[in-house]
Amino acid sequence: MIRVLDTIVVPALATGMARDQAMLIAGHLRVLRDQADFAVRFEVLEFCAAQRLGQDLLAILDGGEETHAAGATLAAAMRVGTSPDPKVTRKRLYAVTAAIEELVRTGGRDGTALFRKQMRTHVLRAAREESQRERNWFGGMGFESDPVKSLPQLMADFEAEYR
Amino acid sequence: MTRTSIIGELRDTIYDDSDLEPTVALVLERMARNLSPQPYLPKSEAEIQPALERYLAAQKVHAEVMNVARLGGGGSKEQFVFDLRRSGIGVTRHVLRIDPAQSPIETNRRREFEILRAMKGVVPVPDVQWLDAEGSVFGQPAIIMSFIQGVTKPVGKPTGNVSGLGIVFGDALRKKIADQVLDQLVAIHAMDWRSADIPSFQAPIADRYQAARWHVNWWSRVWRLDRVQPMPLMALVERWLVDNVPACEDPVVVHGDYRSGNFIFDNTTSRVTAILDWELAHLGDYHQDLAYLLLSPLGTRENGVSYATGLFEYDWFIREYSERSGRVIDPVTLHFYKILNCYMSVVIALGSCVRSARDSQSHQDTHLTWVAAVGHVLHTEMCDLIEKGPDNEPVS
Repeated sequence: MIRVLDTIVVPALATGMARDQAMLIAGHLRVLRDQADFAVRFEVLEFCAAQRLGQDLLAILDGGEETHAAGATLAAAMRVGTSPDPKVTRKRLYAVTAAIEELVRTGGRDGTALFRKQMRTHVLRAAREESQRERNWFGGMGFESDPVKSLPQLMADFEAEYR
Repeated sequence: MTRTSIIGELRDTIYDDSDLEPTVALVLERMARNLSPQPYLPKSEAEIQPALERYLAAQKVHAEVMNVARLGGGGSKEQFVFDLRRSGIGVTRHVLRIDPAQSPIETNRRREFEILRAMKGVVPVPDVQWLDAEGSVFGQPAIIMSFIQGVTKPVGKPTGNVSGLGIVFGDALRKKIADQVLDQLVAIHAMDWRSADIPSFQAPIADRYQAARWHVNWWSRVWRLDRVQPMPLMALVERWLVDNVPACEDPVVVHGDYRSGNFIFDNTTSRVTAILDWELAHLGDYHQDLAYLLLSPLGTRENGVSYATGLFEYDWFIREYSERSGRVIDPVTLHFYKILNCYMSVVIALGSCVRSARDSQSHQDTHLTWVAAVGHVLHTEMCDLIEKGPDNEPVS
């Protein structure tokens, strides 16, 4: 499909939106082709990374009623693990990260000063790791000025961190 | 009760997270109402032709509509170019901009119409001619403006990613264009908006913090509506923004999306022929435009030198803007707006663009999912900015 787009469809289109879109479709197909072998495992590891951040936050939880209520919601979301069905894992990942986001929002308002300070450290650490992973994962889209990791290398490093 | 907790309570009392610019609040209400499971069908040239004829007839414009063609470019609005033949005037070329069902940037066409009209004579902009504010003829809100010739990047040199990101101008062209783009930014900020006919724009003057507060509330609300995958950092940054809203003493017209890709120039003379994409324009703090343009992910690196938006060396830009405008650049306020702009850009890239494409609500799904990837670069930038803090002395 990529070859057909590159050699037949794109050259046949005049400059303009149709040509731009066809080139973007070819680009997407390249990225999806490279990610395909790793996609399910990548999502499982993302779930593990979210669980670790959740555990870190629950371990330091301190604040008013709202903070504790948000902590309880997070703890409940974290009771389930990954599933062989990627759709279920994705749903659970959403539930855990939504609960963390809500705890960060609530804790920022209602948490103790110490909790807020430690929470900031944990969230920034996890966010930096996540953004670096995603930048490598989508490195094929060409927004990086520096070289990105190959996907096998990215996955090996991710596995080593969360195995 | 400690002093810190008293200040915290006081700030929470003062900080009103429902405070939004009224026109923006209406846009967001419309956005929440329009969330639809039905895919959007892009308009065809064959549909646009009779719609234009109907619209112009209703405006009592006697004209022949010719050569309707889809126009490429940004993913936010559907755009068509067309010619009009009118007796006594001849043939003129125009652009029609229409909202898709759910734009990745929901804004108000009446505002865009008003600000383009007000900016005529201040900086080069297209002439806006007609407005279908409610979409009564085109199905969605639309504006029609004059077509202006120009390019967004050097012709014949493959450069840049989508949406005008990463355009490399090269030394000679950069020198010619950078001066003009800076002068025009100074002119935008110097525009006397109090005398301008822009009734859809409200000034953030209830208190000194309203300018920043309106924006924090705007984009945090969009995040809640559009997020596809929650991100804990967004909640942390939202809190940081609430805790650090700076004062704005003298609101100006802020373009809101001032960067390469959003102006066009004559490829032969290098003269900037139009400043485009005014949909995020508002009254606010001039630091907002400066901070946006200075965001690292919107820049380029050429021969080891970094250029903000492909045009400006950082220190040169800060010094020259300050000298030419006579305005003080406060590093703490600049830092706040860098983080706010980063936050807004992540909301748009990883929230609205992905949501709009996932739900088939745009005419440019592939463009939007491609642009989304830049959100991860901005995500790293937010971490850097939050950790680093402001680092310069005021420039005046």
